[in-house]
Amino acid sequence: MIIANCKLKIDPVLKFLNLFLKNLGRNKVRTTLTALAVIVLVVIYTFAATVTDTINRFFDSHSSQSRLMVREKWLIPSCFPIRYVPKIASVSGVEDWTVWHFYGVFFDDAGHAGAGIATRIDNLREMHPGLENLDPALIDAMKRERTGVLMGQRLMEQMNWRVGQRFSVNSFTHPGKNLQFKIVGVLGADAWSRNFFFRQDYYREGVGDMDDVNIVWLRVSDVETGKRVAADVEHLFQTSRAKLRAETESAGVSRVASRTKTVINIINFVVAILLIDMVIVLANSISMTVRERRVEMAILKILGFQPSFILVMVIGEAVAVGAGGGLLGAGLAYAFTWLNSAGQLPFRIDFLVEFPVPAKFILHGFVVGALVGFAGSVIPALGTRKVRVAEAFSDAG
Amino acid sequence: MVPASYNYRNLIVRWKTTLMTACGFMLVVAALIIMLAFVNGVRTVCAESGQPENVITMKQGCSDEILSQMDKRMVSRIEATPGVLRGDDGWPLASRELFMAITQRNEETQQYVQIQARGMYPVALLVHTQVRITRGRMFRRNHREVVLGIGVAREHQIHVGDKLPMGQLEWDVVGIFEAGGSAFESEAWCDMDQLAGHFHREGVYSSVVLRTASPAAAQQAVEYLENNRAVAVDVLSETDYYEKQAQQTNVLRAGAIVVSVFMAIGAVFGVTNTMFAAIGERVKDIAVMRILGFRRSEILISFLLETLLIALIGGALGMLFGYAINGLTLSTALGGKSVAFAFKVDAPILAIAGVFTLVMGVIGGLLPAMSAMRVEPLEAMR
Repeated sequence: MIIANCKLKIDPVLKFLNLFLKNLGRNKVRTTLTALAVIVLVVIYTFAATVTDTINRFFDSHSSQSRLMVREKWLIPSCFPIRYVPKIASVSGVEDWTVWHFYGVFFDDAGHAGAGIATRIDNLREMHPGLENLDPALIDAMKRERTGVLMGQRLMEQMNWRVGQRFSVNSFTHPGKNLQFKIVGVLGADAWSRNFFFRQDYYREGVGDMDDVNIVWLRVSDVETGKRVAADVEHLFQTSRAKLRAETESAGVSRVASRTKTVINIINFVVAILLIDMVIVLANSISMTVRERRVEMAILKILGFQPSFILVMVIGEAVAVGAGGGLLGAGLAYAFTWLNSAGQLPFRIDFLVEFPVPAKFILHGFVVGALVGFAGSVIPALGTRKVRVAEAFSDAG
Repeated sequence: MVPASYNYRNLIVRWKTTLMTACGFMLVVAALIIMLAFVNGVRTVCAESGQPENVITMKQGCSDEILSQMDKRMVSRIEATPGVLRGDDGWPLASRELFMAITQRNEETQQYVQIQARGMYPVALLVHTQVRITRGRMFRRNHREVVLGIGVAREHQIHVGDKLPMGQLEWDVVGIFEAGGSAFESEAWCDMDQLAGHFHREGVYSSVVLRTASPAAAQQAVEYLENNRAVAVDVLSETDYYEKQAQQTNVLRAGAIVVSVFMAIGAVFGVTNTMFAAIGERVKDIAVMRILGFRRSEILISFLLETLLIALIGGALGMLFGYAINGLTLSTALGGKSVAFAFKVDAPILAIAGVFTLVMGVIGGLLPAMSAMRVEPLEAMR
């Protein structure tokens, strides 16, 4: 009984789908050109949307309210005495802490760069979002290997390195203080793909920086405790030579995010233009189709089909082209970045390695295409209500 | 030759389709102009910032002033570089500068504002000769006073007589300066000792800018410092330094071109569609024209012209919309700095947009025009 009911519901849908496809096949050139336009526009839409999505995901993954960033109050880049750290860590409510020493490097003369972070290794997983599932064996390996480094996935791909390899760097943040490293493992997390972590003790001895630290991270139990701890830390160093600012990770991230605002706005503008462009292309194509099939629509009305049927038929055709084009376009964009990252193309676009199209964008492309198809066809479809039955005889006249 | 009025009238008859197709072109051209105007605006700021007679020195390995820290001994050696001009007092025209990015939280809005401060001595105005105080006056030595670049004053709505919070203190804004649209206009300039003292950076300098007599002399100074083992500095002529900064926009420019090409391909498919439909409706017209003696090539040109006309309408509208953004000021991050810039739509960008329009029109119209060319006279009889 249930199966029979389902069949009854699915049958009309399949009939409609069949009708849409048959109608689309009647003018193959137009359908192909419209679909190609949608595919091309969805490809570039997918790349543009991926850029903003990647940046937003990065900021979202660093938006904890229970992690506090302690930095020098005024200056960028932040730098303050490391002797402050024990006092900061002992503030009531602090559950765990770590430090960051920035170490920016070039890996080669071609200018391939990476952002190194010297930190505590023992609580690396607990203090860094996205690294919670890092293999504990890698932590143990880092404890054993003084020059050990955990490399971001993208850096490994970019430099074509392998675990166990040794390399030396040319530091641009610490000119002349160039360290040697041994790759112990790879970070799987996207958020750290351009970073590499190494031991704080190795940094301090190797660089000779025994006095300063860039950032201290604190973990607290909840938002309210975080506010109190932040106030206590700031108060503790109010009269010190270097004043400190303690803020939630999300506040710090939004401050950094504001610097990318202009570029992100321009990309969003381009995305909007692409969507409008797709709507126009589809609307134009559907309008031409409607104009050419007025007689046929009039005959359908004579045969007793309701105007709503004709409306659904027109919108359905546009949605089918849009969704199909969107799916193909997003799929092509996904496949291209995947092949590019895997080195399967005769060339390599480094920019796209930074912004790989996620698989979820294939579905996204399908939905966007369908919505664009709907938006582009509503007005032409509504126009079909004006088709008069008498138009069926216009040719005869 | 088929009269152009034939194509023109057909476009008028199918005005909705014509307009929609033209809108596709318009969006492509407007987006192209806006993206290129953004890159052009940022590059202009960089180009205006450097003077070829000036040489900028930073600590070796530091690509940006924000990371560079030099001590007094090194700075003194740099100032002794041969070829550096001397002022009336006999001292070298060498500007020691301390560049800082200061974040300030507005306690009311809880929003952060980044102020870029540059500490300096009075000699700086003799080195950065493009700088002009346009309102108020220059800051005084050993006073907590600042002069603001016009860009930062405009962005934060600060006027002469206002207070500017930097660190724990409020500084008196005593003047506004312009610097030919350069990156300096995004900075707050103040007394070196006041700034260094307040932020505990005494004896630390980000850069030293040397003034020489000519670009050639600047090049000699660069070579001298590069070969001088006593000073571990990165040295560039000021124009080269800002050109290097401007290279960060290369990715954006490449991105703008790629996006525009893809959009253009979309628009080409759109116009091809339109023209195929137009030709489909006018097969009999074309056949009659063939009977009247018009050659195939004339019909090809006629339909290509029709496509180009649509493209030109769209392109012209796109240029109009794109041009509307000219002069709009915003700020963006450039390396460690934030620079105020104005979107700049200039003749080369409009020329690129024009060429883009024509190419799209020709490519989009070619296939349909070729199909029109193949229509046989007999079609008129069917």
